[in-house]
Amino acid sequence: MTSLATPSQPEPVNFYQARRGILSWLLTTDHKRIGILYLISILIFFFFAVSMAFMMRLELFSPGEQFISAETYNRILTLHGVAMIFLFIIPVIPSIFGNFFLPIMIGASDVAFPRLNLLSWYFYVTGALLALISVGLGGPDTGWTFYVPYSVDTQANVTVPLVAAVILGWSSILTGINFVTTVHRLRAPGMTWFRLPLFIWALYATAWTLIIATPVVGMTLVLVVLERLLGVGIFDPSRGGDPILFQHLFWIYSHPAVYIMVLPAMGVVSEVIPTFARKTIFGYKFIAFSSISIAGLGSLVWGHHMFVSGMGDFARVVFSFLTFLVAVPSGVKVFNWLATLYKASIKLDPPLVFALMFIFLFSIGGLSGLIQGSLATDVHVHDTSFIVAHFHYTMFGGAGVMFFAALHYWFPKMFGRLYRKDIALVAAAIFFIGFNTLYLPLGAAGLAGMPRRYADYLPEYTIYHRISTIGSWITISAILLMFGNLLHGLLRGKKAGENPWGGTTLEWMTTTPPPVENFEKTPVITGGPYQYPIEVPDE
Amino acid sequence: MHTEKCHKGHGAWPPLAMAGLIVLASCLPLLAHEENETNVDNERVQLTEKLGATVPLDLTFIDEQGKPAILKDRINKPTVLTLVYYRCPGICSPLLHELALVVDKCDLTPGVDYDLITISFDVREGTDLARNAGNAMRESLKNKTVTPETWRFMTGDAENIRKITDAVGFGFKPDKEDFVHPTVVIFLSKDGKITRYLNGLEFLPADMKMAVIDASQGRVRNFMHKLQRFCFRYDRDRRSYELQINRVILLGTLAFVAVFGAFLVVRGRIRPKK
Repeated sequence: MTSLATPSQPEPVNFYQARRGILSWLLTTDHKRIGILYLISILIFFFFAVSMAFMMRLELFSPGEQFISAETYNRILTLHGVAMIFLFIIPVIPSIFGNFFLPIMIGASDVAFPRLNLLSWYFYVTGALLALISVGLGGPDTGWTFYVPYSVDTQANVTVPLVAAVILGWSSILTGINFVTTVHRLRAPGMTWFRLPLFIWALYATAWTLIIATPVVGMTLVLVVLERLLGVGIFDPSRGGDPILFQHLFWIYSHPAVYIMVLPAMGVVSEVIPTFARKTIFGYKFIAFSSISIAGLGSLVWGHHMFVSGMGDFARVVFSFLTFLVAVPSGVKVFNWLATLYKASIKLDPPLVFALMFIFLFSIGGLSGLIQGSLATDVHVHDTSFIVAHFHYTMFGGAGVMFFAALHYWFPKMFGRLYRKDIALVAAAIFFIGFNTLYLPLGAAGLAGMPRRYADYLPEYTIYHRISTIGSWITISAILLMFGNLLHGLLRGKKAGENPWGGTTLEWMTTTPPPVENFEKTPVITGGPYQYPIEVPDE
Repeated sequence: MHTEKCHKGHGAWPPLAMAGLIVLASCLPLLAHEENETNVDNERVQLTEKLGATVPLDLTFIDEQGKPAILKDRINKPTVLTLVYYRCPGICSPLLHELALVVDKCDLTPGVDYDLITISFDVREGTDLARNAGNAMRESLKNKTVTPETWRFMTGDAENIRKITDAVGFGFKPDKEDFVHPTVVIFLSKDGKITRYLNGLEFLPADMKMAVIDASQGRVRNFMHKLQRFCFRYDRDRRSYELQINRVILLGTLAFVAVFGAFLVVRGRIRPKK
C-alpha cells in the first residue's frame, strides 16, 4: 500500500523505553500509552462487571432467595449494567485500540489533541471511581437506564452514578472530537479517504455518533439529578413534566450507543478478515459507507425501545420501518466479509476465529432484534429475558467478542510478544460453548414468559436458569483461560516481529512495539489498505 | 355456635338495613337534582376553547369616552382580549394586574406589536367604570407609552356581550350581585381569529410573547422570534407554553456540528514536516 520507512539500524527506541516511571504514564500525551492506560482500567472494570454477573447467575441457579436479597439483586444488576455499558463496551474498542492504532493506521504521529486525549482518560477514571463510590453508598437500584419516575423517587443512591455517567459521557465526547479531527487533519500524504483502513472508517462513524448523541444523554441525566435535588419538574407529571420525554431523550443517545459499541467491533472484523484470508476485502466502499449508514440510520430508531411505553401508531410504524432498514447496512457488511472469505487462503488463527464467532453470534443477535422491531411480536417479548439474550448476543457476542479478537490481533504489536495460539484457540472454543449455553436458554425462557430483571422466578423456569448458570461458569472459565494465556504471553511470550500475521495496513509496517513518533519517517501512501499478496512471514 | 351467631345477626340487621335503604332511596332524587344542577352550572361557567374560530368583528361596544366603537375598527394587529367586570370583588382585578405586570416585563411593545382590549361582560356597567378601570390600570404600568388607544376598556349591551362571550367560549353566570366566571387571556389575530388562550392568573412574559408571535400568524419578524416559536409549544390542556427540550437539544447539536464542521473545513489538513 505504501512506500514506507524502513526501520533504521539499530532499532529505534520504542514508546515503552522512551520514558520511565509512574509519572511518565500518568502525564503522558502519547496516544499509545493512553491506549494502554485505557486497557488496564477498562479490564479492571470488566472483571468487576463480570463478577456482578457471576453473582446474579449464582443467585438464579434455583428459585427463591439463595444468598442475595431482591434489593441487593437490583443493585448488582444495575452495577453490572452500568459498568458493562459505560465502563466497558462503549469505550473498549475506540479507547484502547482506537487510541493506540488510529494515528498509526493513518500515518500520523499522534492524535490531533494529545492533552485532550489524556483528559478524556482522567474523565473516564473519575467517572468510573464515582460509580465505584456509589457502590459504597449502597448502589443504585434503577437498572442502567435510570428510568424516571423511579430514579427520581428511589431512596437508593442514584445521584452519584448519574454524575458518574455524565462525566463518562464527557470522556466519550472528547475522544470523539479527537478522532474526527485526527482523521480529517492528520492523514499522511497520499492517505485519501478511500485508502483509509476500514477500522478507521468505523471509528470515524462512531466518533461522529459519540459527538452528536452523547451530549443528549448527558443533559438528560443532569436533568434527572436536578429533578432529584431541586424538583424542577421536567419529568414529573405532577409538576407538568413528562416521564415519556425521559425515555425519548435517553434512547436518542442510548440506541446510537448500541452502534457506538458495535461499529468499532465491525471495523475490527474488517481488519482481521483480509489479514487472515490473505485477500483484498470485498466491497471496500460498501463496507465504508455502511458504517456511515449504520451511524446515520441508527440515530433514527430509538423509538423501538418504547413501543409499549405509549406512543402514537404512526410513530411506531415509522420506527419499526427504520429499525428494519438499519439491518440492511449490517447485512451488507456481513455479506462482504463472507465474500472476502470465499476462495481465500484462510489461516484459522485466534483473531479470525473470534471474528467468525462474531459473525455467528451477532447474526443471532441481529435477527432476534427483528422480532422486537416488529410491532406485534415485540409486545410478547418486551421486558422478558428474550431481550436479555438478544442484547447479550449483540453486545457481548458482538463488541465483547471483537474486543477479544482485537486484543489477540494487535497484542503482538502493542506488547512486542506472542501468546500461545493453541491455548487461545481452546479458550475461544470453550467461550463459544459457554456463551451459547449461557444465553440461548435465557432466550427460550423469555419466549416462555420469564420476565427480565427479576431476582426470582417460578419453578417451571428452573431448567432454563440452571443451564444458563452452568453456561456462565463455562464462559468465565474461558475468559480466565484467555487472559491467563495473554498474561503469560506478555511476561514469557516469544518476541514478536514487525508483522506476525502478514497484515497490510500501516501498523504492521513500523517496528514492534512502535516508536514514540510511530514511524521513523512519515509514510507516503500509494495504494489501498488491503493489497495482497504480500510475503507471509514464517511461523 | 357459629350458625347461631349468624342467625342472631340476621335477625337484627334486616329492619335496620331496610330503614337505611329507604332513607337512601328517598335521598336519591335529591342527589340527582343537586348533581344535575351543579353540572349545568359548571358547564355554564367553564371556558370552551374555540381556537381557530373568528370573533364577529361587526360587534359594537362603548369606549371610555362613551362613543360606540366597532371591533373591526379597533382590531388591526394582534390583540390581547380580556373579559372582566369592573366591580368584580374577586379575580378580575388580579387578572388585570397580572396582565399589566406581564405587559411591563414582556419585551414586545404594546401599540406596536399588539393592542389590548378589555370588555366588561356586565351589562349594568357604564363608561365611567370603564374609564376609571382603564386609567387605574394604565397608571399602574411602568410603561407610560400605553394610551387609551393601546389598551381599551369597553362596555356593551346584552346582545353584543352575548355574541362576544359565545364567540370565544367564555361561559359565566350571575351570582346575586356578582358573577361566577373563568379567568383567561385571549389572543386574537388582526383578522379576529382566536389563536391562543392563556390561564389568566398565572402566566409569564415569555408566554405572552409567544402568544403574540403566534397571533401574528406566522409573520414573525426576526430570527430570535422564529427560534422561540421552534423551541416552545402551546399546550392546549394547560393553556400555557411549554419548552420543547428535545428541540432545544436538536438545535444545540446542529449548532455544535456546524461549528465543528466549519472548524474542520477552515483549518484543513495539516501537512507533516518532512
